[in-house]
Amino acid sequence: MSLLSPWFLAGLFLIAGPIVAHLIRRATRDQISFSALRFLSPSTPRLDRRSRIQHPLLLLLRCLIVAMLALAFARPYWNQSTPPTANADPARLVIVLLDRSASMRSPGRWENATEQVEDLVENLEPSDQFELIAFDGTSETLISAEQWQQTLPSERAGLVSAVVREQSPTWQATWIDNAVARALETVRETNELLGGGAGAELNIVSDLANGSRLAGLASLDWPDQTVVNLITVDELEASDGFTLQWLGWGADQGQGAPARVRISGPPAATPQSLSVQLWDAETNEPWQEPREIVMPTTGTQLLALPISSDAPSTLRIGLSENPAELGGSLYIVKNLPRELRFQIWGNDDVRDTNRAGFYLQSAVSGWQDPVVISSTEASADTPALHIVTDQPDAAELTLLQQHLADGAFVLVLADSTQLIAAAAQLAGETGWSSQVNQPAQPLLFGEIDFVHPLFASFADPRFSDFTRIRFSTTVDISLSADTATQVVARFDNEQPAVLETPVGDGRLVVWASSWSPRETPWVLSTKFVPWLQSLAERATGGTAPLVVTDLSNVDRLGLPAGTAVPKTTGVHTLPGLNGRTRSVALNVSPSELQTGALGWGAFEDLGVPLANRDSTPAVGMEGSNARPESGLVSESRQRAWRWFILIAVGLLVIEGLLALYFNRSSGAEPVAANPVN
Amino acid sequence: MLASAMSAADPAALLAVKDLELRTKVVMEGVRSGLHRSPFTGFSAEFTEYRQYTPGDDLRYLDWRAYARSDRYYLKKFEDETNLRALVILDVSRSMSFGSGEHPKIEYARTLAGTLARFLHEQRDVVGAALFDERMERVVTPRWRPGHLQHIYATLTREPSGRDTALGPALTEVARLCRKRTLILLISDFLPPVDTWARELGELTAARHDVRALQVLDPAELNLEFGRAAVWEDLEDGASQYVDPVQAREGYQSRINAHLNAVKATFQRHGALHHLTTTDQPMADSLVQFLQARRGQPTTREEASA
Repeated sequence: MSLLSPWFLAGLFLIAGPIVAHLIRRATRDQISFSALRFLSPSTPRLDRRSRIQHPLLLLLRCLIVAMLALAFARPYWNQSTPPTANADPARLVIVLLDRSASMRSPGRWENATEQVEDLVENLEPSDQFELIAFDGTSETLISAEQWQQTLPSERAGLVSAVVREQSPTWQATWIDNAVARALETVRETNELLGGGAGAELNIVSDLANGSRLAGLASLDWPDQTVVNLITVDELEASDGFTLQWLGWGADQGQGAPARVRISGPPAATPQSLSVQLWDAETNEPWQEPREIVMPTTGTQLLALPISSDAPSTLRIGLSENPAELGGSLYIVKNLPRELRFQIWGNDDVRDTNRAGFYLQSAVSGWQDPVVISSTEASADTPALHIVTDQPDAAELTLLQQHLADGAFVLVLADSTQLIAAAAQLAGETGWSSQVNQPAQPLLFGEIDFVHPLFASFADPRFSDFTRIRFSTTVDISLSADTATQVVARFDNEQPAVLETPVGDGRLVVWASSWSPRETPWVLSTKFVPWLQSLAERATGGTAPLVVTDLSNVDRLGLPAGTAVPKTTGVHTLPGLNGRTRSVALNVSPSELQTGALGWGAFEDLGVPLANRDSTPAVGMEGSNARPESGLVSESRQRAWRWFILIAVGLLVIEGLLALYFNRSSGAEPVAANPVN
Repeated sequence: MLASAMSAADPAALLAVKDLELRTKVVMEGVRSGLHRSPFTGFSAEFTEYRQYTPGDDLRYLDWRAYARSDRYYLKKFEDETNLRALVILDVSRSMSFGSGEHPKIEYARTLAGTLARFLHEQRDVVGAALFDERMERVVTPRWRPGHLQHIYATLTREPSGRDTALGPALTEVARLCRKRTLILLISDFLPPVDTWARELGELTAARHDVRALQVLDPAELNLEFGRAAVWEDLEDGASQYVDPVQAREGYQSRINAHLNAVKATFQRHGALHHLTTTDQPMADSLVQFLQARRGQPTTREEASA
């Protein structure tokens, strides 16, 4: 038996209290008063063989009560060193969550973490179940409970050592909540398998850096008898180096968009000077002279670095003095403008206010991306969006079909039955019929599919009011029964207003009306420009993708399915949605740059059942915290103190009854003298 | 109501009542009941107008005219006498505080004294009270007036401050206080040696006072069925010695019996009535026996048979 708080055994000295009390009581009760002593002759004292202690059984009980209480406060536990037997307690489940996030790259941390895991495994009982999970932004089971069971006990330590040594810290963020949630799933599965809670122990081996994500722990449902040990791998101190954090591109003031960067370092008594330099990320050559900046005493400085147009497309921002081990440099990719090319198929004079061309020209004038509108077939770059305003001839139809097959978008503004026929031909469908409709009352949009990308930007109720857009002339279209064309919007006479159909790699959009202001105020409405821009961006490959981000946001890059997710910092060439490649700069997650120690109170506040909350939170590199934690865990699992308290209470009851009995029996003898004074 | 609900047969239950007046009321009822069943009427009968003749009465005092009228014998000798003067004297020394049960002797004796005073008062006799230990503590002069009985109760319930029993000087003091012939009711354990108070008792009886002694003892004082082997301390003089009651019982009983015999003989020699009671006896019975006792006659059945 071992004791967690042996100093409470000093309470055993209190046993002296009952002993002294029993001696004193005897002395005082040995006087009997009598009224007629002169008639009594002195007796010869008999040899009294009894102990001077009165009621030795009572004294024994009282001493035992004190001893039981002292033992209970000393929190005893039994080391599980005996070999397990068939009747032994069910084996506990020990899960080790090994942090391999970017913050573990600090010197010595990873090595210390692996040693902690190996020490922990050495202290396991052969009957214990074990699972090893490595985590950063994701969680990965390195050794499953089944694999552990199938390995001979003598080879288990070697297995863990080999698996752990194969690992290395990644550049990802630390999501402790995800890892714990995964571990709890294993606990529940094991409990269901064993038909009851056998007790689970989650050992989080981590640097517990400030940037670790814990928020999800609050929503976890902890199975019974599950405890968490926090095993800190290092004495964490805030890094004394400077880190760089990407904030985004600033507004272009004519000299190219500046890169907005936050420089963070430890607070200092006096301002420090630093120099920031831009490097070509491809050649790793300095591209610009160092730029001097002054760090304020707070240790944080925001910086807008101008990136001129002639700068290389991929850059690295570096610090000349005292960069931090982690986040001391920052990769960026210039935000290159994306050219949007429109081609108008029709005789549109851009000065004719009754033609679509005029409004196209007007709509794109304020766009950030450069727009090129042409009315002739360009040879160099195939336009992404073709707008058909007049009846195309056979050759043009062939060309348009070719573009559609190549992935272009074609918008047909069909104000005549001929254009509907051309659209049906482009769609490759037969059975379309149409008729020009000039209703007595202008038509409105009666039904719009706001889930469709064409109108998705108006899905918010604040923007979904189309009642001011009226149509005096429309074309009623009847589609074939087996058509693949989707009706995105209908007029209020239930006739299709906007159609879209996939053709080849491209898409055909049919607008069943003219854009002339004489027929409809559509091109004059506030909805026209955003509608056109969303169509143009779709045609060009979607919204402008991120070019500078961190490794915890890789899922926001919109990578096609099956693409290998980059796991290191630097500039990566990644595929886009429309088959083109793009360069993306990936940096360390900002949360990993917060390297200060995380207080254990953060875990307790989130309801985590910590097993070792009473011990020192951080253990030094050379400190072996496995043994005291093992004691803590054993004690918290066994809770032997409760039995000692129960025994003490039982003894107290017996003592009370006995004392009552003795008091009554002795009370019959010597009530004698109650002198009346 | 309460008095009738309480039994006077159990001294322990009665002594649990704190109020002395209430206790005397209960005992008084028992005394009346006992006297009605008896052919004797007690000393108080000597002072009524008529009293039935009982064997042993002096025939000189027989009222023949009443006999002629009613064919019954009545005595009329004292029909013209004035009220009796009586003084109840209670021993409140430390030895009276002994009790092997729940209550000490003094409570028992105090109740007897209060009841006697009430008995006399209700007969319109003038009654007083006095407490003594090593000296005469308090004295209430015999009187008859409203509230006098409550005064006596208050005096009897006062806690004494003395320690020893000085019976001889107390009797001398009584003789000094009582110039007229007085019925003196002496209540004590009479444990002091007889020779320390016999002469003073003789002087008192020689002064024609009617002295009647009620000796109150704890049963344990008679048989020593009490205590254990230990150091025993005397309540009065504080002397201590090691006593094993098993060893000492036989010798003690012989010595205490000798002392009691000497006490009884002393009273008989001086023509005073003596009655012994123990604290486990019902108080009313003790008082009835005491009231029925005649001078020079045995007071208990055991004494008569002896």
